[in-house]
Amino acid sequence: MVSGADQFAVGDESSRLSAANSGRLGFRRGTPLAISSGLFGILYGAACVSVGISPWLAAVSCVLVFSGAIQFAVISMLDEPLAIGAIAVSSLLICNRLVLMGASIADHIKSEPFILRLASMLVLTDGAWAATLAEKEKVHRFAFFVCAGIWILTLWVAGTLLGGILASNIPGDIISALSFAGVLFLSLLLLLVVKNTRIGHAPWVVSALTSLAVSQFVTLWLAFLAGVTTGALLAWFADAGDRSDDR
Amino acid sequence: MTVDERFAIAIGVMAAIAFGCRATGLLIGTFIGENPRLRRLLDILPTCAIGAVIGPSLSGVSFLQAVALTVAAVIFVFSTRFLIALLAGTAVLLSSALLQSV
Repeated sequence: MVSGADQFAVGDESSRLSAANSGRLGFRRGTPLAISSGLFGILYGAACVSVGISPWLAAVSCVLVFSGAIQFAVISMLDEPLAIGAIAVSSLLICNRLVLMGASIADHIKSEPFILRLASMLVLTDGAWAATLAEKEKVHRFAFFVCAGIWILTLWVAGTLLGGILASNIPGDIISALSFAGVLFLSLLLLLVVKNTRIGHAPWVVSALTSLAVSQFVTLWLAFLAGVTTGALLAWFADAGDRSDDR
Repeated sequence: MTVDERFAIAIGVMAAIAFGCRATGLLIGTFIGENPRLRRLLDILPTCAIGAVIGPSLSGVSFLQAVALTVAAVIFVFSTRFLIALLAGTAVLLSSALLQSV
C-alpha cells in the first residue's frame, strides 16, 4: 500500500511539472475555490460593515487571519468591553482543523526549506489544502499549494472589499439565505478530495454522523471531538485491515 | 474604544491563533516520522474534521437547504465542476429569499 504524499504521485520524476508550471496549474485549479472564497468575502465584508467595521480593516483581517470561520464568528463578539479571552478560546476551538491540515500538508511540501514551509502556512486554508491533495498531476507541490493559496486569498480580500462597499445594497434576507452556503462549500471540498484521492467516504461520513448524534447531548466542541476521533479510529483500523489483506 | 479599535485587537488575537494552529500542524507533520500508516491517517484527519463540522449543521436543515445540498453534490459528482455545483446550490438557496420577497 502506498501512503502519505506518495499516494498522489503519478509518473516518474522526469515527468514532474516545473515549479513555474506547477504554480500556474495551482492558480488554475484554485480558481473555482478562489471565486467561491470571493463570494463568501462579499458576505463577510457586508457583515463587517453592518456592525460598523471599516471595509479596509475587514480586508486587513482577511490577509492576517485568512480563516473565514473564525472571522465570521468574531464579528458578533466585539461588544464593549472586548472579551479577548472569549475571542481567543473561540478562535482556538474553531480553527483546530488548521492543525490537522498543517500536519497533512507538511508531508507534501517537505522538500522545501523549513522557513519557506513555515511562511507558506499563511495561505493554508481548507481550499488550498483540498486543491493540493486532490491534484493528480505530478507537480511541484509547494509551488502548486502556495499559488493556489495566494489566489484564494486574493479573491477573499477582493470580495471582502467589494462586500464592504456594496453592503447597503445587499438585502438582509439574501445574507440570511446564504448562511448555509458555507456547509455547501465544505461538503463540495470533501467530495473534491475524496473523488481525487484514495481517501474513502467512510471516515468523514462516520465523523459527520457521530458529531450530529453527539451534538444533541453535549456542546458542539465535544461533538466535533467525538466525530473526528470516531472517523480517525475507523480509518486507522480500516487501514490495518487493508494491510493484512495485502499480505 | 471604537469598533475598529476593538476589531484591530481581535484581529491580532485571531491572527496569532490561526497562524499558531497552522504552524503547530506543520511541526507535527514534519517531525512525526515516516510511518506510512500515520502519514495516511494525517491526510484523512482533515476530512474527518470537515465532516464533524458539517454534521451538527445538518440537524436543523430546511427542505430547501437539503435540496441545495443534494443539487450541488449531484452536479459535482457527475461533472466535477466545483464552481458550477456551488453556484447551483447557492441559486437554490437564493430562490427561497426571492420567493419570500415576491
